[in-house]
Amino acid sequence: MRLTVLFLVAILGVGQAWGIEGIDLLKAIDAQVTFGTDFSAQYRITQDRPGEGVSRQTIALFRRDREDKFTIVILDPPVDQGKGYLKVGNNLWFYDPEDRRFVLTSAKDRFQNSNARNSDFTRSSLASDYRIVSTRQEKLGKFDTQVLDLEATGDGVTFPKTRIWVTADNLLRKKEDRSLSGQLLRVTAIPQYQQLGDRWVPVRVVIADQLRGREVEGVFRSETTTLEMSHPSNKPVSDLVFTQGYLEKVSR
Amino acid sequence: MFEDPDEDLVGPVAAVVPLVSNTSPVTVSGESSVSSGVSVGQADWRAPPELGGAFSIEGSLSVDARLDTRFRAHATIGAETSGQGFTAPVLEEAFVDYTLGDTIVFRAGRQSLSWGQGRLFNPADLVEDVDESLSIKMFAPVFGNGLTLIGWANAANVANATRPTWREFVYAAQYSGNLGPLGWGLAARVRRGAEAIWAEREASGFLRSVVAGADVYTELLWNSGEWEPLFGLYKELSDPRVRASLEATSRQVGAAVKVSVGSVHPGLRWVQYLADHSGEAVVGVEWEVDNLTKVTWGVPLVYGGTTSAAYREATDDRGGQQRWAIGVNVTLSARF
Repeated sequence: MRLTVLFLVAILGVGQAWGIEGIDLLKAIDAQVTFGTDFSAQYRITQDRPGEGVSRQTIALFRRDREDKFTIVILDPPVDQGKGYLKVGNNLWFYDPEDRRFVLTSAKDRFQNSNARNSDFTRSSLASDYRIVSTRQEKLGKFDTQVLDLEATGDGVTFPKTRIWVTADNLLRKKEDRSLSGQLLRVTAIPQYQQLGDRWVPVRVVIADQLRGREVEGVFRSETTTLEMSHPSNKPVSDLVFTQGYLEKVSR
Repeated sequence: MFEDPDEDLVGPVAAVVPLVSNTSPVTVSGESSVSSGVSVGQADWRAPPELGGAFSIEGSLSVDARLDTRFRAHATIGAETSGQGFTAPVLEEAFVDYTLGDTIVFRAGRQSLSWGQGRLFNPADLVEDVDESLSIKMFAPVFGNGLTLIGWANAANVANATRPTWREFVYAAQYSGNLGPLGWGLAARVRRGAEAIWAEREASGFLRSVVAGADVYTELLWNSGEWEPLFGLYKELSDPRVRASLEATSRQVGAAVKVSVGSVHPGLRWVQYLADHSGEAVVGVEWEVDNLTKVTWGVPLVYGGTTSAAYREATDDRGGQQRWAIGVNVTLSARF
């Protein structure tokens, strides 16, 4: 009986220690890419649909992580110019200059019908959204990484399960997003970061959709979306930028 | 990709180029659409089915000038077919924007605007008649929230269109923001009124939040002593994309579901009037054949007596009442 109690205490102790350690690790990963200042950058989004061709968009992203806000303005192509997104807390609005109306949309939704999700543009919140269920070491190309299997702690996230590859500098290099049943939905690769102040921002993000694609010459090719960042800045941004009035101002 | 990746970039970042300079030479854009369809339906259960057809052309042209980051001028004119000809071109929008100190935005002229939280019903759209008027609007961030003030005078509601008085103007304000997970807003609309021009007083407030991934909202409209509440729920699912709405006011209840499977979008919309239990249900499918062409098939069905609210609202393309119909429509549209 005493042995059983000691065994249970040991297991609980280890589990609790891992839980604390796991949260700290996720917080460290979040902290590397979360800005205490405003952040802005331009993104070139290239959508490759096998058999259908390549489409491109250019957007401007403004983020204020300390208030959980972002604004996205679509700069190109002209047919989508002026459309925008505004996220304030849990609310994400889409502005269509045709209707001149703001419509509440979902962070889980695809961004402009690409393989990226609206939630991909928010600040990293792994520590508050997930818990670590297992971990191991693995070589990812030339990177030595720690692989973490994560499960969502609530239903507000886009992907209930995810596996991430993290280098020793706490930068996320690869991510596999899965459904609740474990089906692989998409793979995200971030091979390069840029330092901005004491934080980091991905230079290039490649997202491969595991469900959407086409067989080309007998081989299944996934739809992919590539996000290429340029003109990063951590200079202060006007408060006006994080309001609906700003999207009305810059729209068509 | 990870076998030989580029090194992470460290060190100073190059000078920042303004992301949204909001300046551009004069740009011209527009859109046009041609729509044609056939339908068969009944005006009443006892009336014989009638075959009908419709054809329409719509177009609009916009001119936009942003020669300075603080200044913008915009105008849109539109026209559409009417009978065997076209309507006279209508100035749909014509306004000037001025931004003061990168903080306060003023817009003056004829502009479109929509308030209220409803998707199926929107009784709290206190500015629904702004697009029929000349107006001046100011927007500014105040304590991290958005404040909008607007004033307008509708020529149809003033005694002397060339010299409207301040009593004949309509004034509206909206202040909205977020408190943690809760979105909130307050709005009001007033007109002091003058001889032969009635006074107006309306106010509304809303709360909204995300619960279990669904957008849940409530709004209360007060109009000269009468209250009208709105409750709504909106949920989106991905793969396939499903958008579902459920709303209720003190006068109507309604629901809508739209599914997107590739280029095919089936949907259902239902509205019922609580006073006389009449209503309308519409089942339809929209098929995006390509980026120019869309085919729509729909079946509206109205239930309730011939004096019911739903039947009075249900009109066909010729303006006559319609109990049910089956129709298909093809639309070609393009933007430039």
